[in-house]
Amino acid sequence: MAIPLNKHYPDGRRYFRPPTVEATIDELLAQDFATACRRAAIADHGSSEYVPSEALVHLIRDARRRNDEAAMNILLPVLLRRCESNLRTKVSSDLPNAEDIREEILGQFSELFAADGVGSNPDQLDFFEAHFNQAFQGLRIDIVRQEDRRTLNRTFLPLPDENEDESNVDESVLKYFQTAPDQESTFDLQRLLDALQMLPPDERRAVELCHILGYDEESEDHNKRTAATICRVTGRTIRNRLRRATARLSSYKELIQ
Amino acid sequence: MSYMDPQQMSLSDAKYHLALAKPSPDAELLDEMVRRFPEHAADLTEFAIALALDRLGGTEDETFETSSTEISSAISKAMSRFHNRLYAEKKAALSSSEGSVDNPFASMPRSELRTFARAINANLPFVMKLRDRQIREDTMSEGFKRCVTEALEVPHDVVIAHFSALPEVRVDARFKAERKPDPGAKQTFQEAVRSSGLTPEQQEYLLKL
Repeated sequence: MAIPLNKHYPDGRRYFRPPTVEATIDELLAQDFATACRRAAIADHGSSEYVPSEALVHLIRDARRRNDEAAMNILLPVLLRRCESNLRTKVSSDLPNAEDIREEILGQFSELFAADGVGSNPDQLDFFEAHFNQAFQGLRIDIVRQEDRRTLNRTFLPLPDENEDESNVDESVLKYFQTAPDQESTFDLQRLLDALQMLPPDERRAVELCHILGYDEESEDHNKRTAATICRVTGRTIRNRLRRATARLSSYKELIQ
Repeated sequence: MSYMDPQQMSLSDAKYHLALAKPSPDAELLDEMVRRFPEHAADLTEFAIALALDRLGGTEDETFETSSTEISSAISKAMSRFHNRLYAEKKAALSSSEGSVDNPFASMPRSELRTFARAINANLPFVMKLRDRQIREDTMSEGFKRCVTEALEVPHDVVIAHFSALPEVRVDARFKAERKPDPGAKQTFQEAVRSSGLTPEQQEYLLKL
């Protein structure tokens, strides 16, 4: 049986591998290395011999612990190919230096293996053995958003004329962000997410805090974090920002329909 | 010093928690992380928003295996970074083992050793063996070594280097002979567990780690 993971959830429970991953690791550790390499290269997710990325991470870490550089040289590129394939779809080629960003993500990820078991955070790869896709998504987003910061959008959606008929404002437009999209509304949601990036930063932040993360606009409890305390403004200012964001998004939605 | 604190985490851990602990990060989870790292509140908030938006807009964040076995330029560069970092880590480990090896127990008074013993579900005689490097590192389970690392709150390589070093006799130890005794051969982990007066439950726990 593979050694337990050492990282804990914020509530104190240990992270753990999914049972299918544990079972695959047990199988792989009982097989010879040539079989493990052959299985690692299987692309078909439906194959009974397919090796989930979590198990592949475990094998590479096991080789790292044994200082088996030859095994790492064979297995790590297999995992990196999977990651590269993911990054081709997840890191938009619209970004000015998409290739550099993909390289940076792969580079930082591969260094985690070199530093595994040493330093002040020896178990960081535990997260990748528990839920590979989510952990890799976290790593990707952390690197990509630094790039986003440098390429901030400067063209904002227009604010409709205040004298315009208020009945044209679709008050429910922000609710799209809170409900799980069905097939029909996925298209609208994606367009609204694109439009969100075209809001002025203070309005966008109000929408993100209240309608994406679920913060209250304000609270009478002074110890509670709210959109108002995070943005260091009054609740009224947050509401004004939300109202303007609603007007901009609503007129944009009307335009695209 | 607190022992076995499961809540101990780094900023990067906090980000991974935001990515893993719930299907999508929310205000409650973000507040929990911000309470731990108030100085990084803005960074964590931006990260949580970016993550939530990515999950909202994307489908399952699946990785795909390609049938290609070619090594792209990006993978070559990543492997190169891996090797450079591996070389640096090995060099650092080597220079630390060539020099005098730090004993992470050295500054701990007896009361603190007892607290540590409770934290790893052992007793004082067993912890003395750990302190004096009387147990072979290669016979300890990885789980046990990690457990000690967490309880000591020191880097894992410091713990490994300590256990791997030659056994030591404490300068403040009392002995009847005129000369300092030879520290002698090390015990295996199992021998040490069996011969330290641990309860059967403690023995079973430690051997299963």
